[in-house]
Amino acid sequence: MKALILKDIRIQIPTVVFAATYPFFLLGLLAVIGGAPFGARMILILSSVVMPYMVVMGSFKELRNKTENFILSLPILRKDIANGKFLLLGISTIIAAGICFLAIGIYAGLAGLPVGNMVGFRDLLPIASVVMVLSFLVPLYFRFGFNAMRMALVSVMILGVLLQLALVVTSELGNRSVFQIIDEIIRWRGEIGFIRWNLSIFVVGVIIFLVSFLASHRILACKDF
Amino acid sequence: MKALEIRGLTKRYPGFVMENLNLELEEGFVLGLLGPNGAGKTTLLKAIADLVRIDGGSVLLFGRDSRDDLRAAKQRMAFVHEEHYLYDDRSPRQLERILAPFYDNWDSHRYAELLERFSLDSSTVCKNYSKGMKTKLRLAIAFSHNAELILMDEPASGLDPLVRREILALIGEELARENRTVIFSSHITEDLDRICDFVAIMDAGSLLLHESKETLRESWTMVKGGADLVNSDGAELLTGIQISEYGCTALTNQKAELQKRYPGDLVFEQPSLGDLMVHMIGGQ
Repeated sequence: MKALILKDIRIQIPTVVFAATYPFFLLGLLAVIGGAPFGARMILILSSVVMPYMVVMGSFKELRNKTENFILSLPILRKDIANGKFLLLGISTIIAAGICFLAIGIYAGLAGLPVGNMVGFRDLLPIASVVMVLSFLVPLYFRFGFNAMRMALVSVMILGVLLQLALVVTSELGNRSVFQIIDEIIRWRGEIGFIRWNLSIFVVGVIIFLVSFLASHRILACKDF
Repeated sequence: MKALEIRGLTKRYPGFVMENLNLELEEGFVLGLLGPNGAGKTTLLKAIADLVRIDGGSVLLFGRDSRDDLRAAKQRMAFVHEEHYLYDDRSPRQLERILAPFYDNWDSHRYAELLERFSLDSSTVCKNYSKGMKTKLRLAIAFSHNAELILMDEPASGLDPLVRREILALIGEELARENRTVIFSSHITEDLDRICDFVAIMDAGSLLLHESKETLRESWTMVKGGADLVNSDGAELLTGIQISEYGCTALTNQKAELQKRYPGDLVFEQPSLGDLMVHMIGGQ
C-alpha cells in the first residue's frame, strides 16, 4: 500500500508542488485585495478540497494511458488499488488542510490578525464533508474512465454556476441584493444550528464515501484489464 | 516441480469463450504460446496474472493456488506486456524509484547492469526511446526482481527483424543464466522456434496441442500429394488438409502407414512451427 501511495505521489510531483503552493498564492492575492477573515476561510475550505482532488485525479491518468495493466501486474491486489486511491484522498486532504492552516497562520501573523477569528478546527468538519461527498468520482473513474469522471466533475461545477444564477435571478425578481439573500441563507443556516447543519452534511458525506468505497471495490473485483 | 498448472480454466467474453483449458509447465522451461490474433493467448496470460477475472478453474503457481496468496505469487512473477504501459515521461532511473518498493527482491545492481547491457541511458525519458528500446526496458524490469515465472505477451511484435533477433538473443542469455520459467506468446513462429522448449497452439480459446518442440517435430510430418488424396481412404490419416491448384498438403502423425499405402506417391517433409500452426488452425 505504501508503495502504491508513493507511486501516486512520485508520478505527479509537479501537481503536488502546485497544489501545496496554491493556498499561499491565494492568500497573497487576499492580502492585496483584502477580504479576511471570510476570504481566508473560503481559501481554507476550497484549497483543502481542490488540492486532494488535484492529486487523486492526476493519478487517475493511469486508466487513460492503460498503465493500470502494468500496475496490476505488480505484486498488489485489486482491492489495493481502490484502497490506495481512498487513502491517497485522505492523506492529501490532511496535508492540504495542514498547509492551508499554516498559510493562514503565516498570513494572520504578518497582517497582525488573530488566527482564531479567521479559521479554526470547526472548519475541518465541512472540509471532510465536501471531500467525502466528491468521493463519488472515484468509482465513476473505475467504472467509466477518466473522461466520464471529468464530465461528472464539470456537471457539479455547472450545478454550482446554475445555483449562482438562480441566486442572481431571485435577487432580481425579489428586488433584493444578492448579499441580502446570502445573508438570509446564512441566517437560515444559523437557525438550523451550525453544528446540526455541519453534522448533516458530514453524515451525507460519510454515506456517499462508504457507497463510493464499496462500489469501487466491487467494480475493480469484476474488472478485466 | 511444476511452475504452472492450469486446471479447467474458463473465461467468457462476448463473442469469445475459453472453456475448460488445462496446461502444465515444469520449472525452468520455456513454453511458446502460438496462435492467430484473437486465439486467447493474451487472455490466458492475463488470467495467470489476475489481470482478467476467470469464470472457472484454477491457476496453481509453484504448487499453490495463486488466489490463496496472490500478492506472494506476483512477487515471483513478471509480466512483459506487448505495449509500453509504463510512465512515458519517466526515465529508467525514475521508474526504478517507483517500482522497487513493490518488490521484496528488487535488485538495483542487476537493473543497472541490464540497462547498461541493453545500452539504455538511465536518465533519458521513455518517450524518447524507440519501440525496441522500450521493449528492452520492460525486459530489464522483468529480469530485475528475480522473477521465477515470466509471462511475455508478444514482446517482440512490431519490431524489425534485427531488433527482434537481438531481443530474443538477450532473452535467451537471461534464461540461460538462471532457472527461470517463461511463457512466451507470439504469432511469429520463427521467434518461438528460437527460444522455446514446449509449444502450445491455441485457436478460438482452445488449446489444440501442447507438446515439447522435439516431440512435435518427431510425431508430426508434413505430407504433400495430389488433390485426389483428399478423397482417398488415406484422408483419415491426415490433419489440417489444405488444397490448392498444385495438390494438397496436410499433417500426419502416421507417416509409416501413409508410406505403406501410397509408396512413392507422396512427399514427406519436416514441418516448421509455422506449418503446424497453419495446418492445425487453417486446415480442414
